[in-house]
Amino acid sequence: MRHAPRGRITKDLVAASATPLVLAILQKGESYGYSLIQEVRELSGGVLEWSEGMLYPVLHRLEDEGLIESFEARGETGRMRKYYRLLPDGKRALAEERKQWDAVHAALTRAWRTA
Amino acid sequence: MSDRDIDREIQRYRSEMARSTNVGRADLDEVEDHLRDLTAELRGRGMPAMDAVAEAARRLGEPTEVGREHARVRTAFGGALPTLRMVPAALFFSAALFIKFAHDLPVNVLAWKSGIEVSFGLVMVFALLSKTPWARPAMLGFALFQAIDIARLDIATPDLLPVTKVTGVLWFGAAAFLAPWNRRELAAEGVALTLQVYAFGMALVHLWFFIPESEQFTTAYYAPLGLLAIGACAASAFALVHRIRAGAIAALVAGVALIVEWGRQYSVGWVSDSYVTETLLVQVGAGVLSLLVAAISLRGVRGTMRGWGRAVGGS
Repeated sequence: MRHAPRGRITKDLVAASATPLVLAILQKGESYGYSLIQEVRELSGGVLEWSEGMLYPVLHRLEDEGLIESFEARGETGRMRKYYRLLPDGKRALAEERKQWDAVHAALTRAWRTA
Repeated sequence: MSDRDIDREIQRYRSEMARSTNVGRADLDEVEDHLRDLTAELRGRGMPAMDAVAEAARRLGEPTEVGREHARVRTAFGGALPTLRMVPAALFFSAALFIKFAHDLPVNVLAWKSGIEVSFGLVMVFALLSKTPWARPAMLGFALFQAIDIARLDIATPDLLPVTKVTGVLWFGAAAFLAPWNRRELAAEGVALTLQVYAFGMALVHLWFFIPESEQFTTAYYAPLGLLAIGACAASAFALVHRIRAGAIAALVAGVALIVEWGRQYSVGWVSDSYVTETLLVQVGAGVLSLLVAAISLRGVRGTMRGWGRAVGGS
């Protein structure tokens, strides 16, 4: 396994956080792949650098699981583009993810304090 | 550095991504869009065109790896069939095959023909159980053809054997479990393969002439164009399975041959009056489906529907 450069998040963590990040961004409104990636980069201040091509399998998996749905619409460039939006099941999944990440975060915070 | 060079680089990425894996066209389009957007953005920031493409490709990731990751989620033909539907589909399908073969065996002439069908069928069942991506759409086309053909016979001949009716129900059952239950389950390539296998079956029914006195099938002699149509349907199905895009030409040839051959048979008086509607539906229908396959292979399902809708709407 390749280690991430200093200051960057490791591959495993990126993979684990992909689902809640995508769901959270889509909760704010529909979006498409390229714009989603940019938003992830902004949100993370650049430390969460995805191998961008890997976003799409994540989107397609979430779509197959019925958490999000895709539709085609004309983008600002005039080209047809595939957009994604959050479905009710996705909202529930996001709430669950959030609970779990909060729990992990709380546990880690306590652990750092006693370390 | 021209836009053509950029296109070439983007196409190279795309084909590398698709090479060793089964990525659907819509998914490839999506990644290609991303590559174009990113390249445009980098160029907008003053990066030279060629560097921008290279940097965009680097940020997307190794194309073969990206392709592999895609294929892990879904294949070109659509999602995998859940086990709860795969097992009943395989059971209905195998039962129908078995009854068909047991029933045709005593009738010498049909035995080898149904032997071929049953062998094909068993290969498909095996492929489905071992989760081969093309198995599901191919079996769906096969089951639909058998079911609809029996329904057709049932309408045309009042004294259809009960055993044939039972097989018909089994085929419909298999088709119900194989069919997409929501619109994303079968990708464009999956729909094309389903239609092509269906058209192949229908072409066989109407163009495989059996001459009782000689106990031989003599399609090549009586309808060379029909033989071409059957061969082209098979070639197109093969190309779809192996994701050879030039297969669209075979589908086109099959469609035209089926329709022209019907016209020829009609004009020389081979189609008796009571069979006009039926042969039109089956043979010309198969031809139209083959043309649809060719269009889908080139543009995907939705693009094709939109294009045809516009053509019909006249706008």
